[in-house]
This record gives sequence, C-alpha cells and structure tokens, in this order.
Amino acid sequence: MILGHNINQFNLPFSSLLKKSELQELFDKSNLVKYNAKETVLKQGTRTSHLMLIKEGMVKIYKENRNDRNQILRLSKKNDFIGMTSIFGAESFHFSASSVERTEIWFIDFDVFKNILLRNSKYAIKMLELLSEENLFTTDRLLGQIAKQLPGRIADVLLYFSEDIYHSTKFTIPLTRRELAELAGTTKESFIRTLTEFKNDKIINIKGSSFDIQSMDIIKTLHNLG
Amino acid sequence: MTKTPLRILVVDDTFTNRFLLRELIKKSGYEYMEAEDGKQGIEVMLNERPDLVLLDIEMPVMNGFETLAYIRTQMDAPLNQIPIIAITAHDPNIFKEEFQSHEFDALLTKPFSSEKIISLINQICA
Repeated sequence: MILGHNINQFNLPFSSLLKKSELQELFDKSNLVKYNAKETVLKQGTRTSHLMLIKEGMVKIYKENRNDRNQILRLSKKNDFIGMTSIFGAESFHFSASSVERTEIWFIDFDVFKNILLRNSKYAIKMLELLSEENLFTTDRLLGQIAKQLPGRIADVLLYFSEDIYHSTKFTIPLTRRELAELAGTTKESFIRTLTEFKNDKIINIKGSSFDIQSMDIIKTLHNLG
Repeated sequence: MTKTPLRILVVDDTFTNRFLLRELIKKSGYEYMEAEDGKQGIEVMLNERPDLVLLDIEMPVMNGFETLAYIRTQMDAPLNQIPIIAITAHDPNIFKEEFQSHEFDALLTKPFSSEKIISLINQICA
C-alpha cells in the first residue's frame, strides 16, 4: 500500500552530508510502503532496482535454502538499509526479507541513489562504512555458527537481542522458536532444549516470547568461550 | 619439576553446564573430566581418580544425593574422602538444611558466575 508522505518523514541516515537538492531528489524518487507482520518485503532472486530503508518496524533478512530450510542472516530495524550488498554486488537480491512486525519501508530508486554517490564522495564514504559494518557483522555471525557449540550460539542470539536490538536484559522477541533456531543456525528442537537448560540453570527466565536474562555474566562467558 | 594439574570431575546431565564448566576449568589450568549422571560419575571416579568432584543434584539414573552416599559409604579410601561440591538450582534457603545433612564440602547454587565457580574450586583445592 503506497502512503502519502512528506520529506520530514524521510529518515535517510547521514542526510546532513547531502545537499538539500540531493535529499529532495532522493525523496522524489522514493515511496513508502507499509507492511503488516509476516509479509514478504522482497523475494530472493528479485532484480535489484531499489534500495530499501526501514522507517519503522523490523525485518528479518534470510537466505532461502533447499528443503524449506532458511537461515536468518540478521534482523534489520529502524534506520537500517536493506539490500545494500546485493544492490552493489549483484543483479538480483541474494536473500529474502519479511516483516516481523508492522513495518514501513522506503523504496529508494537505485539509479538516483548511485548518481548521488558518484557526485557526493562524503556520502559515498559513509555508505562504504555501512557496507563494511554489514559485511563484518555477517562474517562474524556465520563464522561463530561454524566454530561455536550450541550453548555459545544460543548465547550469541540472546546477546544480539539484548545488546543490539532492544538494549535491555528484558525483551519480547517477535519471532517463533523456529525462526530463532534459524537465527542461531540450529534446529528448533535443539534450540528449545538448550533454552530449557538455560532456564533450568537460572541463566534466563522465559515466559512465552518474553525473555529475561538473569545471568549476563554466564551469557557473556558462553558467548566468549563459544 | 612441573606440578600435575588438579583433576576435576563434573557430573551433570545438562550439556550447557558441562560445556561452561569444562571451558572455565580448562582455562584455569585444571584437568577436566565429565559424566552425565551419578552412575557414570562413579565409573569415571574409579577409572580416573580425580581430585575434586562437582556434582549436580537433579540428575536421571542416580541423583546427586544417591551418588554422594555411594561415594562416602561404598568406595574405598582415598576416593571416599574426595572433596565434593554440590551444584543445584534449588533455592539455597530451602535447600540449605538438606545440603547440611549430607557430607558435601561446599554448595554452588545457580545461576553461576564464572568468578564464583573458579574461586570456590581454588578455595576447596587450596
């Protein structure tokens, strides 16, 4: 659904580095789309034509594999771009994205965005920094999944929500146990079993989808020891 | 002459606990061995003769109390005098009386902290 919008709602990161005319040009070539929870935002294999920027909400970025086995790469939230790596590195998106809660996303015309990067080196450098951060994050997460044992991987997921997403030791996760397992790179059964162990050992408390980290020391120890 | 590192046996049915304790114990320079229940723990004790046992209370097959009773009454010296630290998620206030009626050397209650675990091991083994 396309909504009416104005430039004050356009939350482009680092927009202070843009000329007013550049910001206006980007805004004029963007449109805002609203999603309910669990709607597909983009499908793996779609041709890249737009860069996406989250205005509100949260989106899961995931790789679709054979046999209906997905792997969640990250959760993107307000002010995050979606698709930067695919836009610059491929003709089609290498992942899918879907909303995990009510979400609003700006679709920004990529040709206009690219032209502004060609003209505005300061802004281009900022985008390179964002790309590097995204790549380092993904590399660290995937290497962690290869190298770490299950308790370390589950601790990583809990720390991710606590420190990167909600900035609190208490949070409610809008994902199913299966999706959380996909984020940890394990099966739903193993994920639930390890969560139960964490609960029995009073490392965390869980009530449905609400989590309360009771021993951050142990979570961080498990994260570090892997 | 190099001193032989202390050999610590962890008896716990929870993989997360064994994983955590293994990493902390090895990182502190001790030798680690493990068992998943009391029966297995007794077998490891007989074969490996550890210096200290960390014994979970709630376990299948043979729980911590049964295992402790067997070690103290059925095993030969010096294994029957081995220091044993009880591990439990029970409320320490409720569990204290039960703990005191058994011959444990110390009590480690969950949630652990890595500092608490290592300082207790060092204290018992000093």
